Amino acid sequence: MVRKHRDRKSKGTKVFALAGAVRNTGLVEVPIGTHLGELIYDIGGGIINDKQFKAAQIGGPSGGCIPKQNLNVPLDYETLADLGAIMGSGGLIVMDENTCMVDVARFFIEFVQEESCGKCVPCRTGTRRMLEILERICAGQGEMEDIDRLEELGNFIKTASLCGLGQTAPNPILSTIRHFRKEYEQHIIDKYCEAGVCAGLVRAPCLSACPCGVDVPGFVSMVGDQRYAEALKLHRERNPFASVCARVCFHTCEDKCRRAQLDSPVSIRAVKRFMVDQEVMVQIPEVLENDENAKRKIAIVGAGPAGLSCAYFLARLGYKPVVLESEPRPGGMLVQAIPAYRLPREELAREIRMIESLGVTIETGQMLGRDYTLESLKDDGYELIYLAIGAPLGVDLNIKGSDADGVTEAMSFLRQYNIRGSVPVGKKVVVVGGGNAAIDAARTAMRLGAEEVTVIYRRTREQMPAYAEEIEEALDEGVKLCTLLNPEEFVVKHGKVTGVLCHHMKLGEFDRSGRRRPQDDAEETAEVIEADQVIIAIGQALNKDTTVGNLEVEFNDSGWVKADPRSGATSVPWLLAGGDVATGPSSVAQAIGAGECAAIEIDIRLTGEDHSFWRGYKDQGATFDPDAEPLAYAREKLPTIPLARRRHNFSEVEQPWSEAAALRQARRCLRCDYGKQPTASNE
Amino acid sequence: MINITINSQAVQVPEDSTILQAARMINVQIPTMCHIEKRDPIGACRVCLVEVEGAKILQAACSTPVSEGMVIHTNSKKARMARRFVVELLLSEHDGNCQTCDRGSDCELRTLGEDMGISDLAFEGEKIKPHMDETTPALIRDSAKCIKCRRCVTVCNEVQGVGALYPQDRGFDVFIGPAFCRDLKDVACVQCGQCAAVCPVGAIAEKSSTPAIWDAIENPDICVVVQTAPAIRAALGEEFGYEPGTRVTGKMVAALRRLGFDSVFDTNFTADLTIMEEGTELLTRLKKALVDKEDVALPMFTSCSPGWINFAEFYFPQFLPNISTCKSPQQMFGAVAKSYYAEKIGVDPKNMIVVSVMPCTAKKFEAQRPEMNADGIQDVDYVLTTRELAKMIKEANLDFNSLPDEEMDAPLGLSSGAADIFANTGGVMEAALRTAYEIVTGRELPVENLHVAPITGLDGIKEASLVIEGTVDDWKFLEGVELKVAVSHGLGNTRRMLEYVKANGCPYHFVEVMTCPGGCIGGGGQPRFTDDSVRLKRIAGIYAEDEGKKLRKSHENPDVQKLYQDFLGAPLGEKSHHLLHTHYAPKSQTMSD
Repeated sequence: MVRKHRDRKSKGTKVFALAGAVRNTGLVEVPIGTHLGELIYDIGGGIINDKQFKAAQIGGPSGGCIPKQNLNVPLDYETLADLGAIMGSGGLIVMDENTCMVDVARFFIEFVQEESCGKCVPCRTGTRRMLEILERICAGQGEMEDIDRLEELGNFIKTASLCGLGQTAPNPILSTIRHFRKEYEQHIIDKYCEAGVCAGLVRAPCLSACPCGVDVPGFVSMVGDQRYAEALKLHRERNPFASVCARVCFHTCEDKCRRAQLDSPVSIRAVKRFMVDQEVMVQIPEVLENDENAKRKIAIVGAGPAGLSCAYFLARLGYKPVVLESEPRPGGMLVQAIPAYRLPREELAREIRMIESLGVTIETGQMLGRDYTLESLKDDGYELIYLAIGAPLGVDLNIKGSDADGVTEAMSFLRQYNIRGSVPVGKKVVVVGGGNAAIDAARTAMRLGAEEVTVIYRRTREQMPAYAEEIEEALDEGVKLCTLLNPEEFVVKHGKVTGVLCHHMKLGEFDRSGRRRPQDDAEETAEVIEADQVIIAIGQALNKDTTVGNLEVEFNDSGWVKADPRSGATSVPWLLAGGDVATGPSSVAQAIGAGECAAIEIDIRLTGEDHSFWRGYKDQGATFDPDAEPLAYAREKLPTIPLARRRHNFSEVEQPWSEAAALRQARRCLRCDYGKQPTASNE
Repeated sequence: MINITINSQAVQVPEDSTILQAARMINVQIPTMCHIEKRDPIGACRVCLVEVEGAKILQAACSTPVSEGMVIHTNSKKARMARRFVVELLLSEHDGNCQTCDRGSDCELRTLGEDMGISDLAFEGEKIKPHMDETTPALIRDSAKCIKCRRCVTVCNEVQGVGALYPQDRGFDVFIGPAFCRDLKDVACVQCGQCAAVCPVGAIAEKSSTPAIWDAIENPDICVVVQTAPAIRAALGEEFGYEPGTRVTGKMVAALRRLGFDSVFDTNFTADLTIMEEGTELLTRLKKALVDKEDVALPMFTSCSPGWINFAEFYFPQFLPNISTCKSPQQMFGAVAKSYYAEKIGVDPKNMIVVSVMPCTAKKFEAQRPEMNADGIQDVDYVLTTRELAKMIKEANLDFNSLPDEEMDAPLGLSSGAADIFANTGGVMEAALRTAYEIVTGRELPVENLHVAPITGLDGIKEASLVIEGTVDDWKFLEGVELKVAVSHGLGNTRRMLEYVKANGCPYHFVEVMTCPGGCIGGGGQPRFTDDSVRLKRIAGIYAEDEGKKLRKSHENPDVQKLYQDFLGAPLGEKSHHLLHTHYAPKSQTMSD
């Protein structure tokens, strides 16, 4: 073992003190050159609660942070130095997604500056100044120049200090700026702490985690007070699709819920489900009628969650935007891809009707690139155009037999069924991929009469991007899941697919996404899975030509429209973009949040001012006794209909709670927001 | 010798040089705020950072030894920016009230900032926790201004061997002061003011007496008498742009007169008087020891330097009986002025204020000692340092450089050259020998130009011996005696000597001790900044003053002779015993209360 890495400059072993969000903590002695990922996953047993690994602080407080992109780096002196860390004490603190890297930097520099002996100026005063700057940033009072200042100061302290303490003290800051600059910028520009840690920016971590900024403790606690209508109104202040999100949201709020530290998170989505089910007549939110705004011409391309959210918020400011949709029904992925057993169509339609009632016009059957172009809209007098067409195309798997009969692709499969009402389904169906589209396609196929549905995925189940609950439900419904299996070719007989030749895979080194890269497992022989239909669900794409035509719009390296996540601004002055078209396939909530940001930006561009009255915190006056012990009820799931009743129909699987269950669950909320008034947050 | 390159200039330097020393050899300036010559570098301030090719980080020039082939850039962008950062950080925590700071334009931090062109503060943040220590009569410590360069710590511990100041606490909260966060009055501080002399900023300074003196001058009912110590005349000029060592005695007298002092006298006068008393005391002690076989304390130590008195009281109380009972010249002057001179001009001593101008901060302490008070009248009322006098002259808008040379007033203004050399190390001893030898032998001290060469210069401990031959009748018992003397300056050297004496017995008859390195010319109240080159120039100025005088021996001073005739009687007589002598008692090293 020790000789394993003997080609390295440093030989022998190193003892690391493994700590933090890792299952097995303690002292471990490994050969120098062992990969960081091996140390954390193989020896450390991975991250507690299967959270995402975010970074590791190596070398003690004056070491540096190494992000997930570098899980495959060998732990030796030279590599660590290149990454801005040190071997140092061998301290190795593993941090998960709930760690704020700015806060980490602040924490370590606070420690180090207290350890400074105070003899030399750079260490004594410089580290204190760095701490003060970081405290400002964490409190939401930072400026963009602060990042430069920290870097300058840090580099200076490293080269000017008297001893090793000062010469390494800035490492945590410099390395977090290097690898997590985005987080610094979020703290400074957006006054937003994604991890939900920085007290000055975070009223409650659930609220910070919501891409739409929904006042989660607000609506949950009002449900607890049985103020259902008010709770729903509060939700729709920031997110019109309460009913939709009560069903399909990926609920990062629950991932960040502090109740999890006590037992398990509050079932926020399920509380929301109960709340929306209490709505009889759809409520109309506050709208500021404005004749001037009503005259402005704004076009929104795509009636998915991003486009409709943008339209909703514009309408609340008195604008009358026009939304153009290529399909016959509005809703985007909500209607085309998400099956009705997850999201009953009437629920979606109700909220879209509510948006229309605010003065939004939706024109269906209008396809970009066929019926009009972005430039033609501009020529028609639209002042600003919001591009929100999502990521509508499926991606082909270019292997032998791809063009055979029976090989299809998930997006068109789902769209065909959801819009047209029918789609050909085989008896033995293989779905290739591990995302939500793959699971939706598999469960849809199951409902449409397939006898056997097998999902094959080249990585492991833990690495599947699909929501864990969805995978769970799929397996319950009889979907077979084969992981570490990679299709090599489609077996074709008489032009028709008859099976999938698969290679077994094993996990190799960590890739830049922080996951182990699958590689061929030579010890296992290839196998053929019988299939008369193959649905490929390995990703989504955008057709550049039909989207922008001759208009010169900048795209990013991943092939999506380059747009400022804060405003939707693109390289074309009159064009904004948001949602999947700019981010690639992402969550519904993120698209809704992006739509809201774009609406604010459009209003600012047209009027020169920000009128987003729905933002900002209002105390909801919900009942709460801060001295009381937390309620001892355990987390409950929503009930589901029995498996037998799921075949051959698309009835909604999840069922609502009784009022008693909903109240119980809502009152589990610890009210992290209680009495807090963040100074700088934009919540 | 080894070869190095500094800023593209190839140069040969001794092997044991630091980069800073090497650079200074070829006149390449590198700023430093913590370094003190001849002391081990501490590398704390980081303003001497330079770039050394091949080194991973910047190097502190003061503490990095040169090595063969070293290539050094003192002004590369990296080095300059780092230095700038250091100063910006210091400014960010510094009190920053330059408008009202004692140091004004003579602040090293401010000067560095100016030189670097720092026009606005790059960093904001917490300031140093303020603490004012005004507990001693001599010194004020203002922690908010302290830059923690630790020069004062080096001087107090290594040069003076006192150890009243240390770095306390850590990190940003570090501060410099007496142990256990006490104030100076609570520790064994001798108040020599060497810390104030080396402080680059306004964190340690003398406690000012100026306002009270202006008030006294303004008051028509008060006769304000001023005396100036010998060391002032060779240093005051520095405050007005003169080279160190330039004698400005005449201009100083003119300035004092224009400031409004009623009588401008010379501490030199009582220096001569001191020699009469102290010389007689020495001969008396020798007589008691050699003839009467009495158990008298020998060697005899000089008593002119109040820091030394404090030091002995705190650390070497067993030697207190050895210290001459003579008050210092400052105190003798006050006593004589408020008796002999007051009587002469018919002024009630209660209406007389004696101000002294001293190179010293410990003199402020000495003036208010309970011992220094004959018949309930304080000998000296206020003490000004050289720096404070310069400030008063500036405040009064006197154009010092164009003032005429004027003479001291009579009768306390006339002095011999022997009195002048009280200002530097070895001077009191030489002055005493000039008189004592002549008293004992009737002949002039048989050394060239009356200078006792072995006890001149800046060596820390100097020794000389002299065989007494051809004695006159009264002093026959000294015939053939080899008189052994020693001189120490700087309390660190003094401590070494006393420890030696304690361990090995004393080979000396008479020992001169001066608190400050170089003697009074290097006092804690002298113009900043004093290093050895400045000390030597001031000493040269003092010797020139001595050599330029017709009177070179204290006993030849006619006004001193007249004082004995008209008022005191004889040396060690009853009146002088009453007015001019005192005793000291041991002091606890810990708490003053």
